[in-house]
Amino acid sequence: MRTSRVLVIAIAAVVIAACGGGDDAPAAAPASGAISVEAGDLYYEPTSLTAAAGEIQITIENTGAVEHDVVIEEAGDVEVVHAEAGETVTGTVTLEAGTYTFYCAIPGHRAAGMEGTLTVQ
Amino acid sequence: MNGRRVSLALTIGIAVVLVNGLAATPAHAHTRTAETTNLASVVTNAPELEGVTFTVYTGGFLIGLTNATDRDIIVAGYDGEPYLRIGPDGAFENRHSAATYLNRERYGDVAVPPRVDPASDPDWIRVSAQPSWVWHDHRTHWMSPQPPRFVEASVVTRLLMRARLVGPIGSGGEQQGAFQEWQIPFEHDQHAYVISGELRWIDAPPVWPWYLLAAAFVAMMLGVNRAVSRHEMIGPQRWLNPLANLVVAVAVVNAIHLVDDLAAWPGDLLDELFGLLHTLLFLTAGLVGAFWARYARDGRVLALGIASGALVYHQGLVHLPMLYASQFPTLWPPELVRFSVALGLMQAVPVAWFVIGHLRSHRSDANNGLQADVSQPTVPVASKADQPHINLDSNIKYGTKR
Repeated sequence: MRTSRVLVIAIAAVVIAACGGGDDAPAAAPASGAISVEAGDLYYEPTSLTAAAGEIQITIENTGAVEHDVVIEEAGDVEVVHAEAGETVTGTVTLEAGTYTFYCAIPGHRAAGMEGTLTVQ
Repeated sequence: MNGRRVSLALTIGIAVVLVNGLAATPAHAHTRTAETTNLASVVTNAPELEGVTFTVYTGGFLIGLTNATDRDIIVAGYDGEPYLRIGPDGAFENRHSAATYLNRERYGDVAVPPRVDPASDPDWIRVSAQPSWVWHDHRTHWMSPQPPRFVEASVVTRLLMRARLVGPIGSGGEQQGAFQEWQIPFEHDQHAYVISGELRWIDAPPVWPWYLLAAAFVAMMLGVNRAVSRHEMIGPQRWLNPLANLVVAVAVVNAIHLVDDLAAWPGDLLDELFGLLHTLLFLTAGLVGAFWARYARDGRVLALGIASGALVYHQGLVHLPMLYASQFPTLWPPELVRFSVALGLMQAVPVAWFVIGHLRSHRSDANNGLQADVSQPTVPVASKADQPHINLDSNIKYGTKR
């Protein structure tokens, strides 16, 4: 009897510790319908994006010297947004929950590393 | 300055501005210095097909393919569609391939016509009667005038790169070597092949040895010339003639760029002609100015200054990126090109010293109400005994000792 009480308390303590979290742990950002990404030469920053399912606004700030775009591979390689050098442009796409690959469709840009992951929740 | 000197200076000045202006227009901006970079594109694996050769030019900015076999090669475009057909009937581009349009500009910054459809049958148009073609393939080169993210470059260098006056350069620090791979699929005689390669970042070698070597060459040239002319010349001729000889020698070295302008880069003919004209103009200015300084009776210091300035500009400044990059198009050993660029700059040091000294001497004499006497140069001479003070008429004051 005493053993099972200790076991219950120990399990409860572990569960509380696991759920409580510390002050240092970052709170998960709620997924929103608007996301932005910097497109440079030849990179995206960040390369992991999260958005809420439905209509998503994607903004790219092109800080590079050449044009860039954002294309969603699993959505039929649709170009969501395209920006010339120095431009900041917003495009819209409707996506269901899932994991998508986005990339720059300008020849040679994807091979140089311009791709990332978009998680839609 | 008399009318003749003014005419000379004006004629040279107008010619320089005209040719330089034309050569610097955006249409002709792709000179060889724009191909200068620290990026090397290297073929790592190519199928061995007899009669088929691939050539990757500096930085991978251009790739060439020659097919001397009796069967066509079909090069795939960016969506896997037929893009190029090269074979016994010549070279053909597919007008239904986006690559046909995108590859006309180095960074693919062109509009693709809406009728382009990679899924449709090829619409071949002949672009060359020869079984070879050279094109910008965006798979084989770095697709930005800015260097990769790991490269450090100064603000000025980045501005020059953004203006596309020079390709990506800078310091890659520890990150040297391969950082990106590429592949180009093609078909030959109904067999599929792939040519593979990689992009490498290679920092330029140190610059100072070239400046040091050029300075030593300049000192040696002047020393030898001065020693030879010691017992024959008087007054500023002691330095004017050696300096003129130095400028001639430097201008002759500059001729290596003439060869490169013609053959080192497979650019379009108009670009090559303007590059050639550009080099010829400044080479001629250097030679004519030096010979004028050597043998004319008037305007000799001015001519020397113009000749030296022409070489500083063209041989030195225009080609300066070649000193600060590891890769550039040339048919010569890269060391020779780097030396010539440093020489183009270093030759100006003693000439500037001489010309400024001459001008100061003139102004000082004018302030004193005296007739200009350039028989007393402000540059050092070997010994006082070699330099008797002779106040000669301006027409004969550069003459030989009588």
